[in-house]
Amino acid sequence: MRIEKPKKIKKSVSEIIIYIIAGLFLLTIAVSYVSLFAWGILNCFKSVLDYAVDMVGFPDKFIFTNFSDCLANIPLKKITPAGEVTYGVPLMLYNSLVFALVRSVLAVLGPALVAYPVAKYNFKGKHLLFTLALVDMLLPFGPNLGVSLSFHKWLGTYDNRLGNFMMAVPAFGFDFLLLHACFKGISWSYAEAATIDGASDFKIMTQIMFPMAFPTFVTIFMLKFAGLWNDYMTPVVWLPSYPTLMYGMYVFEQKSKTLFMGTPQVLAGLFLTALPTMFLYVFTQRFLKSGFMVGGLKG
Amino acid sequence: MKDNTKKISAFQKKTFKKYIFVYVLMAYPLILWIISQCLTVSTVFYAFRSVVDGELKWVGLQNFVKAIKNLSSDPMMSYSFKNAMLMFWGSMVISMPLYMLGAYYVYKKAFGAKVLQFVIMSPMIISGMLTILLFKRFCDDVAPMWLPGLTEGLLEGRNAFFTTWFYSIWISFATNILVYPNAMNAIDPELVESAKLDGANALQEFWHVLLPGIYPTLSTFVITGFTTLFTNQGALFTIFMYKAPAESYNFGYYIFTQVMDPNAGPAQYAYTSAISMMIAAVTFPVVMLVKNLLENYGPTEEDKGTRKFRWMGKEYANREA
Repeated sequence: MRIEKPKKIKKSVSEIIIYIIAGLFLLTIAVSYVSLFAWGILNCFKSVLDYAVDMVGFPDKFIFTNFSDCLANIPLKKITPAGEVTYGVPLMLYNSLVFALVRSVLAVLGPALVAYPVAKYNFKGKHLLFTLALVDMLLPFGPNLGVSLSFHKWLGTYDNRLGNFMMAVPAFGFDFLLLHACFKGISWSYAEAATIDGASDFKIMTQIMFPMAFPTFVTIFMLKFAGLWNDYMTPVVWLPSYPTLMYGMYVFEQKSKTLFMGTPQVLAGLFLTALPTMFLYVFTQRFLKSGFMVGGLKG
Repeated sequence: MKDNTKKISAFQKKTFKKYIFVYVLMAYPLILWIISQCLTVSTVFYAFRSVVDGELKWVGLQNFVKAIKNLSSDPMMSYSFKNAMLMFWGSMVISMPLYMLGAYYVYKKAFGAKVLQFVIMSPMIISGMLTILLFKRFCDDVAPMWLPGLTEGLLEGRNAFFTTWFYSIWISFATNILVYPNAMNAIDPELVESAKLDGANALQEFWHVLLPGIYPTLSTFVITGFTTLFTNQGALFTIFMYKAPAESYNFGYYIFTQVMDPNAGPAQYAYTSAISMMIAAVTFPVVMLVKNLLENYGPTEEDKGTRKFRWMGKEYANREA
């Protein structure tokens, strides 16, 4: 039996031109990103004099002492009522890990606990909740920072890690829509089969539905983790006594001028503190690329 | 005679258990959301109060009048408005078409698309902080060498706004190179193939198949862009901390610095609450209008079975249908 090969559709001239333009454009963006990082990495190995003479070229001589020089200055020193407190890199790394991990889990769990019943059950208020989710995203208005700060200080959750985590369980947002769409796509027949076997609603949720939605959970978790790992504003505003690595990096860069540190030492310090995230990216980028899509707001 | 009362009770018991399960599950996140909404309402009331003789008192529209006067008299406020409009519309007009162009290339798996996507995504993940600080150092140290004609540094005066604006657009590709190609991948490949077999060129394929397909994603980003029209801080705090030049201010940064000032108190909270309310009053109707326009003029899925949809007044259907 003769099997016909699929007809190859020739690319038109316009398509080739678009590909070339798009390819060159993306190449320019990629090269600009790589150039900036390459510039930073190369200058980590220069002496201050070498940098002053040539800011963009290769180092005359590769120097490694910049990394050890800046290590002493990376730790963050804060004056508290109890006295001066020093936050070293291991402590800031620990704070970053706890902050990013716990809040990422909560960022997945919170919307999942609301999206699952809204997607799968019929109950009073179901449609109202979905409408509220959409309105919540559309409203360009939230609590003013000053009002929120006053409230959290009164409640005792300001500068309190446990308190901050307990208050950081979102109900709605982008992730609610993603998870709602995900749960809607899972057939209820699995739950019906489990019900016949005597499974409770809780068991169906934890042993059937949530495991089936796990890829979406992982995708949201990874994106939230990356965002929270890089987030320094939240610790600055809400957890000043628990500085993260990003906050430490930020303060290190700011105070480098007063310490008369040269740019090569500052860059060495920045790259040192960014190392954990670089490893994270290499191992997790395929999770990020698969299945992340933002849903629509119709409703 | 059968005892139906017991059967009904069992059913009611089952339904009651389901309700308990559903409401208990959602309780905690919803309670926190309600608290957040109460704080939002509190913000509304805060806006009508100010510190008078050391006490927080009702002052009517005083904070709003002050904010409106400051729009013309306070350079930080007046620049905030101008910069917010420039940032948003410039980003929409410049960035959106470029996102689509890049996404199309990646979606088509053209030469080197995977590698380019990997590289372009990296700043989003490796360290946003590192990228901004590298950029800042580059602008401070290297840029003056390459642009000797500049009277002010790239991060000084009015240049600071254009530099940070450029940075926001430049770094936004790191996120969008992930989102839009994934949205395009979710489109039924048969639709695309069908268009190709009908002789559609790249532009026609994009306009008539891909764009309607990714419309929900696109409209989501457009709508959320409008919601943050006046509140987006950009990279100002990271680059300048509290010392950004007045010419580079935006409302998000202005409110943040007002509140986070070490001397800030109820008076500043009340004033910034008034600004937030004014921003919301302007933005909300705009957001609703944009949402309605996007819904009314966007593609509608007529019949999911045959994959027909209407776009720009024309009806399209899958070849097999």
